[in-house]
Amino acid sequence: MSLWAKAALFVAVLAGTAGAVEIPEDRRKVVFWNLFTTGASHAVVTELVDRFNSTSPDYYVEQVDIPYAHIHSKILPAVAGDVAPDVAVFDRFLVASYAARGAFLPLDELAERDEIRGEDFFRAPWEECFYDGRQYAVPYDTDVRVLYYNRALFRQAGLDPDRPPKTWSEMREYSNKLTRRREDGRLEQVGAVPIWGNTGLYLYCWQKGGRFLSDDGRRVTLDDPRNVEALEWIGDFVLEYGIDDLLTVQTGFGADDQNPFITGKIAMIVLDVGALNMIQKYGAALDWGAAPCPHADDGVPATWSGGFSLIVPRNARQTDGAWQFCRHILAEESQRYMATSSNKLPALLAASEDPFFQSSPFWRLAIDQMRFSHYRPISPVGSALNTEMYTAVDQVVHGKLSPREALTVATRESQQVLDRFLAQKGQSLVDWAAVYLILGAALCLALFARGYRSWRRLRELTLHRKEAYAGYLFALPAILGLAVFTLGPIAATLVYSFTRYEIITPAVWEGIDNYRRLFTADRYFLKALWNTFYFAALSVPVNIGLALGLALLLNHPIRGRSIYRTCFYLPTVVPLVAGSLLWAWLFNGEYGLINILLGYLHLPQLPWLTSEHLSKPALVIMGLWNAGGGMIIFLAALQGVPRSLYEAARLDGAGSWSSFRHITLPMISPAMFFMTVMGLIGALQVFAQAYLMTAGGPVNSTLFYVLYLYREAFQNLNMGAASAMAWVLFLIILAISGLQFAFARRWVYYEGQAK
Amino acid sequence: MTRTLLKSFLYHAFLALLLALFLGPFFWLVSTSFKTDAAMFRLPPQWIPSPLTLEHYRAVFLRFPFVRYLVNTLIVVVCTTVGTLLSCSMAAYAFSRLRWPDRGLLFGLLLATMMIPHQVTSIPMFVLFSEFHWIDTFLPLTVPAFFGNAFFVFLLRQFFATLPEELLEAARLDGAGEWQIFYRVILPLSRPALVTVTIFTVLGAWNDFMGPLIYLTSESKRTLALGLAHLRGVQETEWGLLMAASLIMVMPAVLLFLFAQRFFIEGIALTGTKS
Repeated sequence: MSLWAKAALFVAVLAGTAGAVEIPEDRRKVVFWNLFTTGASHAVVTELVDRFNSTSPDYYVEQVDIPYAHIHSKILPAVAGDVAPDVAVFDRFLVASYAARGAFLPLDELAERDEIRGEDFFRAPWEECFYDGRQYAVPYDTDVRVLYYNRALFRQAGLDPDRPPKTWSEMREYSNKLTRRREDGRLEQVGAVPIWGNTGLYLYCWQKGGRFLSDDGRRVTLDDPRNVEALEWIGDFVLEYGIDDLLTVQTGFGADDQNPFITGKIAMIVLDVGALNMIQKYGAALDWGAAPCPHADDGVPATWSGGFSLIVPRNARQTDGAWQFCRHILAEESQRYMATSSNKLPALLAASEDPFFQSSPFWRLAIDQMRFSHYRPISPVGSALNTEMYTAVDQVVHGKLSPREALTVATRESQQVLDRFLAQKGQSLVDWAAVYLILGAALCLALFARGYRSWRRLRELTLHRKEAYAGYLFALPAILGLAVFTLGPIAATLVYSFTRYEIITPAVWEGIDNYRRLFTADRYFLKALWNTFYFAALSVPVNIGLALGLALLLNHPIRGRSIYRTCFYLPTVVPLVAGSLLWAWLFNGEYGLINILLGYLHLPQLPWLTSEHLSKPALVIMGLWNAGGGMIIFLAALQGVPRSLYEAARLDGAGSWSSFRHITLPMISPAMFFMTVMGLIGALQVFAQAYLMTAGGPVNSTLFYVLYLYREAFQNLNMGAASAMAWVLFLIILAISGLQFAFARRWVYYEGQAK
Repeated sequence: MTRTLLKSFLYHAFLALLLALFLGPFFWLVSTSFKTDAAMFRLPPQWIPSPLTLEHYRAVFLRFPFVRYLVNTLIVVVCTTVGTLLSCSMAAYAFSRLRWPDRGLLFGLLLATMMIPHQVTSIPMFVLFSEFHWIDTFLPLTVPAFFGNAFFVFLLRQFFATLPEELLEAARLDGAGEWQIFYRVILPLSRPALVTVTIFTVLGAWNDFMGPLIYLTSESKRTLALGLAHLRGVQETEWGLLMAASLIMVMPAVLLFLFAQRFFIEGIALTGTKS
């Protein structure tokens, strides 16, 4: 007893000491999520927080750094779990999507009260903070896209370095002059590639005058003919150089110091003004220039402004403190400091008057271009539009769809999402109390029916009654766990799957809509299902094969057997996170060990994780590293095969293949069966590798079932759709395992009795 | 004679090649973590880093609240392990050595849940824990461990079932209650099985990624696995830093394995053959 008590005490002490942060004296703490985690931007944010903390009499800002990729996926769960920060940096174009779902506090009244007015800001960053007539964010910074070009390469190609291209056709003409191939035909240097810059499809559409949404915001118009023309131009451009050739060049791109513009692999590229940081750090020797983005020959001058904003979650605790901090960031001094110290444009017009900007031709160009700047469409489905547009470009440059087809698909997909959002009002709300009451009543009924029987049997027991009570007591935690953490949730998931449920907004009944949509309307679902089956079908047999091979090799009394066994098993204890990072590095196109070895063997180097055809096989290869676990199981099974069987077979004249086929395989078939069942269940749930190594890409080729489910459930809080997916997965696993058990009778041999 | 020698040579050469393939990634991990950035992006590559640098390790400790994450991870590991050992061994005792009316039904149910993908339960659990205001605490990661785990209950039950009945009878005759029998007879005799469960639980909690990913938000609460994953999230991929941090996280797992190999191998073999 005392041992457990000590352990409990130890645990309590440990738990008590963690997570405590000191707050200075009498000031209230404002939690601030910051997504700038590196470089000058990080230093600037930290300094701005320090300045606030040294002047504010009432509040103390605690800065929490959360990388870009995680901040947007964490905000909804944090709001739902009531652990949201008080204020956060947020990508501005996403504000509308989250505001539409009620995640953020409207700020217009506060802004009005304190006379924070739109006319004091650049137009694009200010307007992007509004949704449905209300303000949900304040702009932090802004940027603008310009064309960067390499003057030295211009000179080499006989072009005038003071005459950068003005139109699309000039850009293409220049690009052809600036493109060089090696003797073996591989690209050595490319003039320009419209998909490599920081442009998306948006920039080219704006330049054509294309629209993305109807005026009332209810109809998606991605298939606007002007957008199709823009995508056609991109497609033709890429086609001329060949996407495979471009991808091979691209595998070498890595960190900023390996950026193709820095290394001179690309002569012209459209990037935002933030690229100046990279050029100043790594491109000291570069002779470069900047110019307005070349516009469509029949189009209008247009460029793109993005940037960040500050938002206040709707259940922030210190809303006043959060707003004070927002005002601090919007102050001219802060804006001036932020922009000049990290090569950004300020959102506040007055800050752009700083000599830092006015004395530099580059910055004067950038500020001038703000006249033409656009921002991405504001819509509750803005992030879906964004994804669809990038997907459309991907499809076209990979030759999967024509520009018109790709944009038609993109329009249809995003229209569905939009329709769903617009239709959600006026449906019948889920009354959770009633649901839980019914579930609870059903459970009680079942318990009562069974409990009555057990109670009568208990009463009949005389000798063992005490033992029976002890049995219930000992098993009680596990029984509770079974009910609360397994059976209850399974039932709840089933209920959720018939609703639209986002936790932070009231749930509505949707009937079988979630299921119907999965199989008819959800392109990603079927893709994810296919990817997962493909991965499982490839990885399970290959893994079992290698595990069995290793076990057979080691099933001899050889010297150093236990060392071999240890070494082969060792990789399976490597944490999946560490393993995934390691393999991402091993698979690196240019500097990874695997391609280096292929190079030594004079085999072609492969773009493992950047090619949609190789990404799944790459993950299968990585999985082979864990074959040691299966090897141990097979080794144990092999040791259980009686020697006498082999002796008898040898006397009957059986060769080694024949005794393997007729003795070994049947005798280890239970282990084989176990490995197949568990291997398949595991493979169907593949997640961490794809999450960490490829993030589902390229072109969704590693978007696996559980990864998609995770995104739907824990990033987008689409609990209804995700629950339907979870149930479908459950049924698939049940069906596959059921089939395996049914077929097992044919090939699995159990010594003694059949189990 | 020469033929068998040749055969044996080929056999060992083949095994050595396989061994190189399995250990190669470890070698690359260690090698990269000690390379300077310049050396990392050099072709042909250096196998043994020269000059050797500790800069990535320094960066790990500077940029990464390593000690805090380690403490967080240890809290989760210790709580999970204590909870699993306690609840699973108790349940295993009830399911193996005690006779009570619903034993068969409940054990069957428990076994059946081993097949259930945990995604089916994770969504309502998230909702439940948000209702409890447990998001961004260690509770969702540790409390469920105190309520059994089908796999470990099964593993322990198999082991407890092999203990001789006479010992239990003798204890009963001496007037020991069920708790005393469990605590003084069963547990001391089951040390190998308990060690196996401990190791698997420790390793499972040490390596767990999805749980912390779903439930933890604050920087100060991250576990090592989650912190490591966040390092990947930054704009520039700093391979040296990632490899150094990975190596730090791999080492305890590898050392644990090397010290407790026997239990690993027995545990794995037990699960695969006796089911």
